[in-house]
Formats: sequence, structure tokens, C-alpha cells
Amino acid sequence: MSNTEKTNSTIKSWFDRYADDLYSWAFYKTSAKETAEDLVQETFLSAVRGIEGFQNNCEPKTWLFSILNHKIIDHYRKNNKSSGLNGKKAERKALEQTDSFFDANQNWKVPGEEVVWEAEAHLLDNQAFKEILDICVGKLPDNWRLAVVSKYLSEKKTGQICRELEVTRANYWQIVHRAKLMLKKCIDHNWER
Amino acid sequence: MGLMQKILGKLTFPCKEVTEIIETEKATELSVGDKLKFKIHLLVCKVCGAYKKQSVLIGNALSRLTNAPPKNQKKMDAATKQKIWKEIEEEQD
Repeated sequence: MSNTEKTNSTIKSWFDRYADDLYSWAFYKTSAKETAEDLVQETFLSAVRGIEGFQNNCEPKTWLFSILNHKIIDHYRKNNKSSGLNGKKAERKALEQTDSFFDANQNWKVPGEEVVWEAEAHLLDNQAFKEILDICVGKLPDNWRLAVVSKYLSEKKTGQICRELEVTRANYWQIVHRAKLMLKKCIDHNWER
Repeated sequence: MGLMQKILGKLTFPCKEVTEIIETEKATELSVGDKLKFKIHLLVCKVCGAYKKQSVLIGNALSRLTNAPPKNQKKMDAATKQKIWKEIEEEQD
């Protein structure tokens, strides 16, 4: 087989194996059939264009999903209408709120007894905690939620050596930082001791 | 408490800055002096010490939340799948 034929058959085998999984994820993340279909198509088109850069010690499924996740985030960004007046207002309000957690010397304003939830065992598996976090994330301004999703969507864990396609992940650390402060306070308020 | 906090803030970093360092710790190289100030602040300031743990927990929980798999598998119909494959095939030529 020529190299091109080899590549073509590789892509075909990946398509047969993973297209449905990718579609399922894309649909779950966008709730739109046509969008999900487009995203799957775009993912494989990118894979074809970027196949030269694919490393052999990388899992195809991981690689394809990381391409898809970038496209999902791009989709969210395009659909993010919070650059309008209401969006800016919400962000401004949230900034003021997080500023208000600190006093004039920029130290924590402590109301007295701090709620200690971080010492709770198995918090990550705790259903109540997950629900509270979900609610708190929902309360974030749209732009902040987008930054959080951008950061955490298929964040690479150690072990996988998959060279990403030429995509620069924008660094929203300041927004993520503020979002986390907001989430902390929200959890503080909602966590039952 | 207020005065201690103020002094600690001046000697090390104010709490707000400490929370920022907690966020960027892995990505930035702190100077030896700053690293020491940071550590001391976390030892003395209970709220920041707690926040460091909370920040890690929130991060892990957000990662799980964002990447949680769907309960149901959705599939594309065969015709759509074929149509998409055709587009991909064309790209390969």
C-alpha cells in the first residue's frame, strides 16, 4: 500500500470505530443534531489535514476527542452572546462581588467561623457536593463559565503523549481565578455542616 | 485577628495576591524569597490555607463535571454517516 492509501485506510478505520462516540459526545455538549454532525465532520477533516503530526505513541481516540473538544469550545465561543450589554453587566457585577471578598488591605474579610468543607472525605464522589457545584457554576457569568469549560474540557492528564494540532489554548487564568473564588463562596454558603 | 492579618499581608503578600499565586503556582517560577513568603502566609493564614485545598478540590470537581460522560449514547443514522464520510474522503484526495 502506498503511504496515502495507508493513511486513507487508517482514517476510515478510525471513522468506523469512533464516529459514533464522537457524535454522542458532541451532541451531549451542544444539544443540537446538526451542530454535532458538523463537529464530527470537522474533526475528521482536521485529522486528515493534521495526520502527518500524529505520533504513534498516541491513542487515536484521545487525539480525535481532543480535536473535537477544541471545536466544541470554538462553537461555544461563537455562540456566546455575552459580549452584549447584559453580559458585560453580569461580568462587572461578578468582578465587584469577588473584589468584595477582600478588605481594603486586600486580605480576606472573614465573617467569623469559616465553613470547612474541604476536609470532607470523598467530596468528589459526594452527590450533594456535585449538585451544589453544578448550581454554583450555573450562577457564573457566561464568559466566566466559558473560560472554566475551556480550561477543564479534556484537560490532559499525565501519561498521554499526544501532540496537539496547532491550536493555541487561550489562557484565561484571571477569569478562572475569579470564577473559583466565586465558586468557593457559593459552596461556603450552600454546604451544610 | 485584623491586625495580625494586616501585618502578615505586609510581610508576605495580601491574601488576594496569595489566591492568585495559588492559581498560577504550577505555571510560574517564584523567586526563592517569594516562595518563602508564600509558604509562610499559607502556614499562618487559615483562610488561605483552606482556600488552597478548596481550589484543588474545585479544580478536580470542575474537571469531572466538564468531562462527565452522557447517560445515553446517541448515534448518527447511516445516511448521515455516509454523507459525512464522503466529505472526508474528498478531503483526502
